[in-house]
Amino acid sequence: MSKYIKHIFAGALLMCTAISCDSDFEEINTNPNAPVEAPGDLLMADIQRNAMNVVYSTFIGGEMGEGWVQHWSWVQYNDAERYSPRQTSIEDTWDVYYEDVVSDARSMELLAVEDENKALEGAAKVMQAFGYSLLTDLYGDIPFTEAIKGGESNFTPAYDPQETVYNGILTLLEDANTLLASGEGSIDGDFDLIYGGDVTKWQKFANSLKFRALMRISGKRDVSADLQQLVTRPMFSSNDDEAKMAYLATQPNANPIYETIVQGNRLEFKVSDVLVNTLTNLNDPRLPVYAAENDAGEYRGKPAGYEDVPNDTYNYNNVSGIGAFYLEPDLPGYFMSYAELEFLKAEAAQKGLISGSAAEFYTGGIKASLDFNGITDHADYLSGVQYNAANGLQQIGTQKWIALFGQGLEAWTEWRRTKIPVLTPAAEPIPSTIEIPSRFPYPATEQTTNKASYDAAIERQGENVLWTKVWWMP
Amino acid sequence: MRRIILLCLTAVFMLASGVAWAQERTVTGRVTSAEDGSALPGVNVVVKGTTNGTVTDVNGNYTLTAPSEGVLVFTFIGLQSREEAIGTRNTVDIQMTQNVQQLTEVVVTALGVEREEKSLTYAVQDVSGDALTQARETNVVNSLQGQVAGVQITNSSGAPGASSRIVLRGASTISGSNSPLFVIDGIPIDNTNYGDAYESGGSDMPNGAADINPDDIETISVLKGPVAAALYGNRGANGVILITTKSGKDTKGFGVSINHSTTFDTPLRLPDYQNSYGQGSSNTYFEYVDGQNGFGDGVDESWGPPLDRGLEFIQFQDYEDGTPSPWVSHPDNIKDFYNVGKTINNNVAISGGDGANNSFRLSVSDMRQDGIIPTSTMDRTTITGSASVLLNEKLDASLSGSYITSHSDNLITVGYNNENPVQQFLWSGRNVDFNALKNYKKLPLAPAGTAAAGTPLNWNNQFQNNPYWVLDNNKHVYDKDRIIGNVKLGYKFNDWLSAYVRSGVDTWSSKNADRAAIGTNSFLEGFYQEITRRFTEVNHFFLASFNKKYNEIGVNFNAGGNIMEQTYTNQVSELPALQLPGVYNLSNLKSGYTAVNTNRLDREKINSVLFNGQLSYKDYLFLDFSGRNDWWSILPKDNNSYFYPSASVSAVLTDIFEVNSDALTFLKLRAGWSQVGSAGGLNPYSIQQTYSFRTDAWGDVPLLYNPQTLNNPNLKPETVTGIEVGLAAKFLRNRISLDVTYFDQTSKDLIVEVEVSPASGYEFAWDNVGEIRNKGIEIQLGADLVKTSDLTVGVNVNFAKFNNEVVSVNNIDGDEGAIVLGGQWNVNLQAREGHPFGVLFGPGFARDDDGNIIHENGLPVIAQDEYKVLGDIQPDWTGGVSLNVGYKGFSFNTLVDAKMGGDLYSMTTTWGRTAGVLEETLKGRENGIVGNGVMQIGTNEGGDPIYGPNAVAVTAEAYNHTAYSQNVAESSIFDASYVKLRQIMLTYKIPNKVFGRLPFKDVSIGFVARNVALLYSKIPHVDPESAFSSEDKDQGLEFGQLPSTRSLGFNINFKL
Repeated sequence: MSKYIKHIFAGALLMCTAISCDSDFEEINTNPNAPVEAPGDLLMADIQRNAMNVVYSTFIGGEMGEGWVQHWSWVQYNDAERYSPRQTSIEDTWDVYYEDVVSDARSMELLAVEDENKALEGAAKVMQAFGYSLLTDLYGDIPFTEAIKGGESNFTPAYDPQETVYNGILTLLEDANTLLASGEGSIDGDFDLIYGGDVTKWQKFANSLKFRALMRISGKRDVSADLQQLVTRPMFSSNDDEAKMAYLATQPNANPIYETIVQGNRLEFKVSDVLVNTLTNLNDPRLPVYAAENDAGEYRGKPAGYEDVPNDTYNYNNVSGIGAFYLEPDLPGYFMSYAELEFLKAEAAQKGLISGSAAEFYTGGIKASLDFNGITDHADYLSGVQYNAANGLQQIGTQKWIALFGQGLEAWTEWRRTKIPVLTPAAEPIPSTIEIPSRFPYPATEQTTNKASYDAAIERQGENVLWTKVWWMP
Repeated sequence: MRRIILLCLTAVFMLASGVAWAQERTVTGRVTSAEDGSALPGVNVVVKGTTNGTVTDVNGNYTLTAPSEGVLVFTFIGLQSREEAIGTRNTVDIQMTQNVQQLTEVVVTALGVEREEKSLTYAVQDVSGDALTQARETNVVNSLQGQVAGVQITNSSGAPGASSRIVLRGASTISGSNSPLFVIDGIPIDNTNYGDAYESGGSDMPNGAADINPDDIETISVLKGPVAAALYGNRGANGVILITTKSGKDTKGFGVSINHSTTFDTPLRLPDYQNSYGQGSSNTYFEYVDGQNGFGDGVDESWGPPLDRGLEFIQFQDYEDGTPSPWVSHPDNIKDFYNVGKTINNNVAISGGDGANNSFRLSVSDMRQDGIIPTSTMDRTTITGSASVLLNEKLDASLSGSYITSHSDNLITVGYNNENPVQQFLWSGRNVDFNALKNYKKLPLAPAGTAAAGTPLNWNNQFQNNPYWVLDNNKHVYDKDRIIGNVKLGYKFNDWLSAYVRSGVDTWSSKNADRAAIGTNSFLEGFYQEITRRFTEVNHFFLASFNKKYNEIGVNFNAGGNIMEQTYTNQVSELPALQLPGVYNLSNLKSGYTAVNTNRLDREKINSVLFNGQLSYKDYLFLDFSGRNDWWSILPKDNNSYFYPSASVSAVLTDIFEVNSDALTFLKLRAGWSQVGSAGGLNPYSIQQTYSFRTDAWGDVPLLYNPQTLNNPNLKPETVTGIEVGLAAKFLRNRISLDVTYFDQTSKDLIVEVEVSPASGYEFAWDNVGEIRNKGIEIQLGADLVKTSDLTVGVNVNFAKFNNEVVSVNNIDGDEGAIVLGGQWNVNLQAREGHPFGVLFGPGFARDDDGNIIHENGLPVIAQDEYKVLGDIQPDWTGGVSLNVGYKGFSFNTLVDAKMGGDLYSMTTTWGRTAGVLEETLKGRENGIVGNGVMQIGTNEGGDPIYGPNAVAVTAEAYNHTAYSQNVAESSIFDASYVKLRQIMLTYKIPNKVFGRLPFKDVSIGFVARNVALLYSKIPHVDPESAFSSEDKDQGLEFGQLPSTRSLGFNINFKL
């Protein structure tokens, strides 16, 4: 009997093999909903949008950037201002930059290599360099050499010391310059939200970003030769060149600041007293652009911190909100501004790292910022803030701090490097340490998904807290 | 024994008749019921050993020509067959008795094969269609509640169209569905819940099997474990529910059956509210200005001034004239919001046939349900037909099919959402007369500057819209059309070899239209979305059967194959903002906005060959075996073929040892082993990595990206390997029956989206890593306590004890891995290693070494950084007891069912206490609360705190705000055990003779009550049986429960 069964079953199996039980399976299981292959250019827009949405997120670039650098302040829901940031913001920044920025930029690079498209390959490297520098500036040591290799089954990448990461970033940007200068290949303008496919400007961006990276580590090593070499290359030479992305007029592609504060009716977002006082003292025409009048028709900021807000002293009505210009839906998102480059050059020149006039760079930076803020009459203001080499670094730092209004993460990062202007830590902070944070803690998910690597990084860098300094910090 | 008597009698008659006369003559007679003497029409009367026969007419009379030595055989389904020798008589009148035994002896098993219960080698339990039609549950899954041992059912809510979750024996997968496979007349059907309900909104939709019309069901057979379900191979991991529909089989002539039922629904349980304090946060003053910026009117809590003490304040009803009105309680303001729900069901079925080979059945059913929440409805019309013919002695053909159309005017939003009306009964003012909001068209509009500006005035305009306006405007309309059917052709080669082919289809299309009017709190610019879905599964099945008896050895062997093809598509079109109010058309897009359009196509195919067989020895030893090989398209090409075997044995000890005892009438032991499979949550196309488009483009620029999940080209299917052993016994001449099954099944290689370090470039990666083990015992006990011709009293008990453990969910050593299934606020519902499937993981209170809650300044301290397992959704045991009493024409049935163990995170308590609306919040309103626990009273030498009893009093408001919020889940996690009086039914069958010459017969009138009472519960305020939907992710979580309902109604059945 069992023989009989075996025969029938064997027969059926044989029949199945003969007519092939899975002949059309490959076709059936080919995904019709999504492309298996795509031109690399198509990835560009999403990389750029994701990169900026983090920078301009009111809960990331806003609460932690603008808050900690004391451009903005809050009259309610101000835990982050008191140095207790949202865990989700810490995680989102990490997740988005690894999964959607550097990972997709790397895919774009590989596709460009396949297509022998050097221009796109160069731009892809610039986007990776931008992503990794933001990550390492925020978190310190991060996975770099072993990062984004899940496709090769490495799900637990080791963390590299920040210096290694910076070396990598500099290499990416050096290669990018070469590729973008080659004159070979092109970038599809439809998908390039920054430059609409202008390869020359991409090369300027690569070099300007490299200048910024070198300046960031200038406290740790002599970068003068590299900087001097860069000055001879194409870099931003006007606001037309700077790397910024225009947001659109409507959700979900409007500037996140608009989407949260205006659309979401989150009026607790206010300006800081440091901002109002600094601009008032300098008689700065940007004050009415940066800040709105309070109910009394005055500009009044709130100091960072305070547990019991809103209260009689600081509330929705008597503290100035953020200026209307910065609440526009189409406020552009900055990867890097021309003004910042000019201030970095001014600092380099002042420190003797590059040749050239610090005063000229300084003035160029202020002019670029005023222009962006719609102020056409520069003369009055410039005469009031004339460059004085004796106090030059202070002036440069202060003007850079003012010019980076809106770019919270970059402003806070540069402040961590220069500590200009002097800021008083928030009143009534939630943790016991009274100090402006030096970094983002690593997200909790790393402790569960990548524990050994995480532990090694903590061991090397220090406790996973806001006050552990990153390598390039003084 | 009866048979022997009959044979003896026949012999006696034959002897008495003396010499056989070869002469033919006409015999007439009347067949009546032994129970009530009524005429029995349609009874087959055949001369034994011939094809010569007839059927009785409406009055039970028959006439035929027969030889005088002949024996007449009287047969009718459900009645004990009788043989009667004609002898010298010209008139042969007989009475027939009901055959009670026969109904339970045959059980439908895998592939729809009817088997004698005696020969079964594994646990199968079935439920007759009568139980379903009398229970009158609109969702057929609910009517299995308490009826079958080891079946866990959770009815999500009492809203029309609410889904029900059914799990057999316990969860066996993490990423996929734990629903068993539903099979109707051999055709697998889709039981997916496509609703978008979750903890913060969306609407629940009927689970797929809820489309099935209970009036068309003959029996439901539950194949609980892998041994019984082995033949379903890679679709059998969760067990199988086999549904057999009614047919015209055994009908002689033409019959019409009509059923009507009407039931009325009321909430089973509403929260216990306090009626002593009104809206606001100041206990002395309240003033409604605009529902947002006045004094206390923007507060949606009830820590305000005391009610019913002669106070007067300006309230929302005084908005226009500005005159204060009395500050009084409205104890029934929530109760009055709910309507009396109503469900009307009509069914007409016509069946006919020649009583043997050819038959048909046609049925039309119409169900109209109005829910207790205004505007909520569910209507369903089902048209069903089946026919079978015997073309010649060898060839038979049959077909059956149903068209089902369902519609709902409004599937009510669930969870923490402004559109769930229950939300504003919890975040609420106890002084609010909700009825005054009903006529919202006459109310002024909420003023500019409030969040509800431009919509009808509400008692609070900051967080809520007028609830009646929301229900009337923000509708979630649902339509579904479905066809389920099959055709079958059979061929009988000879006595021992037959074969058939069957092709069947389950195909449906549905449309959801979700509206939000301009001004809706969460969609200020309005919103409109249409989702259309199409699903088709076609199965072609072939089976050859060999059936022969060699002396004492019976051999049954079947072999065949199946081709399954499934296609699913959906298309979502969404307007994020509306240009003109009230126009819900996809062209009404607000200027400057971009519509979102997405679609999807999924295809899969399974090719299978299979066999099964049974060897029997002397009809008391049975060996079953089966095998199925599946080739599955969604698996990696080189690794897509899997074989699923099973083997089981049973031995009828009472027959083997020839036990002839009245005490132990029957005893059988059985044991089995099997392996089945599943793809868990693996979808088509999860092997190959692709790019993906964002659903929202950048203006006119499409956004392409790398998905966050890494597909895995090396996946294999999940397998469930199980053993079960059991016994079936009957005692006291079959008066008591007992069936016990022990099972132990392990699900391995669970396909899980493992969370990985985002620094790898991915957030998740598919892998085979999980393992779940289910062990347990199922007991069914039946007893005929009284059995006389007038009175029968029977009791049925079923019980199941479960032990479920998630053995592992990832490959990381030493890590208590966890996969998040769902959650609510700060609580995750997880599959966590070393715990039952579905733990509630979240924040609790800080405690001292003795477990006392630590207080600071009188307030309990929350251990924010130490989330822990606070409960789980797994019941320890479930059971049901039903009592059936029959007295003459009356039958009475009652069912009590219980679920013990398992927890529910009830945020009705959390927010109801934060908001001060629940009865418990009265405690300490005047004198404060001293929290139960400890406070630090000093420091010991080592610098550690010393604790003493907490002695600091705080206000009730401060206490409830701290002890009940999203920051601490522990205080709102409750034991979800319950005992419910599930059903009471009283039916009277009017004797047919009452109607005389009228065409009515088998008329019965029944009273039925479902979900009658919650007899035992440890959860305050809500029905412990609760979920946002039937999906795993929505279990164990509750907020703003759409109340479950108690229904009372009647049934009328009759035949023509």
